[in-house]
Amino acid sequence: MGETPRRGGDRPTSGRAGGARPAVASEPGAWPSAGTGTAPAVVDVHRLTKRYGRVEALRDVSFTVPAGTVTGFLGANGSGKTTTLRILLGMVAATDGHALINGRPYRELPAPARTVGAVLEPAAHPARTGRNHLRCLALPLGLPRRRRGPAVDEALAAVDLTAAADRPVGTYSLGMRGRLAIAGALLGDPELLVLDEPANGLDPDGIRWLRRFLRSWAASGRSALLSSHVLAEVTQTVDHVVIVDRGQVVLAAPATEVGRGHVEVRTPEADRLAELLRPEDVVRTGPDGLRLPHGLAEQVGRLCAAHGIPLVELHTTGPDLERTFFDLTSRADDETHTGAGGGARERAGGGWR
Amino acid sequence: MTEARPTVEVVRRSGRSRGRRGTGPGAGPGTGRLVATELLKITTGRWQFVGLCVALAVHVPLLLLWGAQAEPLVAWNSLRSRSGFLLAYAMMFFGVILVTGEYRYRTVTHTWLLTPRRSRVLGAQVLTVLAIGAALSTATFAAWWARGAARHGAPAMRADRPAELLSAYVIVVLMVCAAGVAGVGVGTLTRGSPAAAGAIALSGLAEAVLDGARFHGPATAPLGILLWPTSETHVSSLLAAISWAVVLTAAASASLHRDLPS
Repeated sequence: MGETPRRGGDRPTSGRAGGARPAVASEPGAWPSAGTGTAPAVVDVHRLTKRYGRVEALRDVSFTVPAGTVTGFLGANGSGKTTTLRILLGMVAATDGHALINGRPYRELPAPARTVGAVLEPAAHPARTGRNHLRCLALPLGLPRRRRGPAVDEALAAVDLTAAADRPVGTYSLGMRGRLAIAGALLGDPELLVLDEPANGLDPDGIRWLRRFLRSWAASGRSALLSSHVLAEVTQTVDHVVIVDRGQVVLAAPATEVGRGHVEVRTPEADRLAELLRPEDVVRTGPDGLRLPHGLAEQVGRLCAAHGIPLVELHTTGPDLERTFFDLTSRADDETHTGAGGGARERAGGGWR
Repeated sequence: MTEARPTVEVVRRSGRSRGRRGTGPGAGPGTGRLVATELLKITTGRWQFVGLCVALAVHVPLLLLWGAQAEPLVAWNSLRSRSGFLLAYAMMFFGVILVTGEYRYRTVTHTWLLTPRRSRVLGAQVLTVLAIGAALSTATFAAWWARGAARHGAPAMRADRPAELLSAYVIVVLMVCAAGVAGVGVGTLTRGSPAAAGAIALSGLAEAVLDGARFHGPATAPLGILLWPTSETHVSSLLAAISWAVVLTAAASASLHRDLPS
């Protein structure tokens, strides 16, 4: 972990992980502006709290989704991801705080389903065909009649379900239902995608498809917020990371600052190469293997070329989100078990190194 | 799924017409479009459509076997019950299924995402049930009337007294529609068909036992009209059935703000 991303409680990361912001509008009918940084925030979640009776599902959750980014909303099962997204989309009422899209609650958006494409669950009537399911979604979207059919066809093609479009949804696999749900979200040609556990049920091919799709989505300049409890599936996809644990945000940072990867080197002359590098940078991973800090790949290449050291392997690994995640959440476990820190809320307020 | 996957490319549909958007914040689709969506769901969901067809088809053997009463007066007096009784409870069940099916298959999430103002969805469901109830009750009333007229002549079925005929027809339509709307209300309140069926059954039992509530509660008010001869109309039951439809719809509307957890 090279950099020092901060925990949610510190908030200044990217200038967007909450910060001191009025919880209520300064003028009647006006909502607090979304974000103050360089990139405007598409989603602004501020001090969100949700209680079910005596159970506190969310506590002061704050984060933002910068425009034009894919933000991963990560956490274990039951950590509060789905509740947060459901509040954001108006399915569940918050006990306190607010969740805004383009500065407004979802239900106050001028054309909500054409601003936000959402997949909260891969729901569809099992007797309805995939095409008819999308027709039922396209009709209330307000597309002109002549555009409805082509929009449905385009959405089916985008998720590669054209061949199965006229089969009842009840015969679909879980992965196909997931892709059908994404097709439904695409129908309105939205600016923001909100996906709750989109990789659930996808086979490896489907996960690869989802990754390519999200990259393509981000490349088109639009934003996405996707929740997941499978860290590996989002590591290569997201620009921004929000980690939630037991109803609290424990980290909100750009992915580049989270658990940066490292340089893996394999060479039969590992000892010689290690002598050419700073000792504190070198970790031996085997008789012919070295692990070096992120950013040294070019230096290693030059050194090997200059000294005639044969290279078998030289590559930079991606961000180690998983390690970061477990560092944060296991530390919380340890502190909870030892009774230190007075609970997750206080811990989340501390700096993270 | 083993089919080849094409290259994923998200293309912004910037050149397309955006169609008619809502005019205000959270406006969403118009009522007409919402009703059209409900009708599309019914026709493409298969089971609801088949259920409605079965409700109509049940009348055919009854019409053939018992449609022609020997006495003209009996044919007239049984017109209202024969054309509306089964249909009223079928529509009540249909109203329940129309709403609870959305919860059962979780499609209510899509519905509320598309139309965040949930009361508008409820309004569209009520209008849909009203339209279907009116159409089906018109069909059954016409069929039973035609059967009686074919046997005993049109005058025996009050063709020469249009006010009387129209009154019988309107009452059948009102009862069928009120029962359907009550079903929508109960379905929205309970969010599940077993709970809705249980609530209606329990209510029916309680109403049957209690003298004051008999033929005036939500489950038995239609009986107070449709079990009696066409020439007799218990206005209190008629008003009770309509009032329950209104009260249950209002209660359902007030209950819509409840969370929809996963």
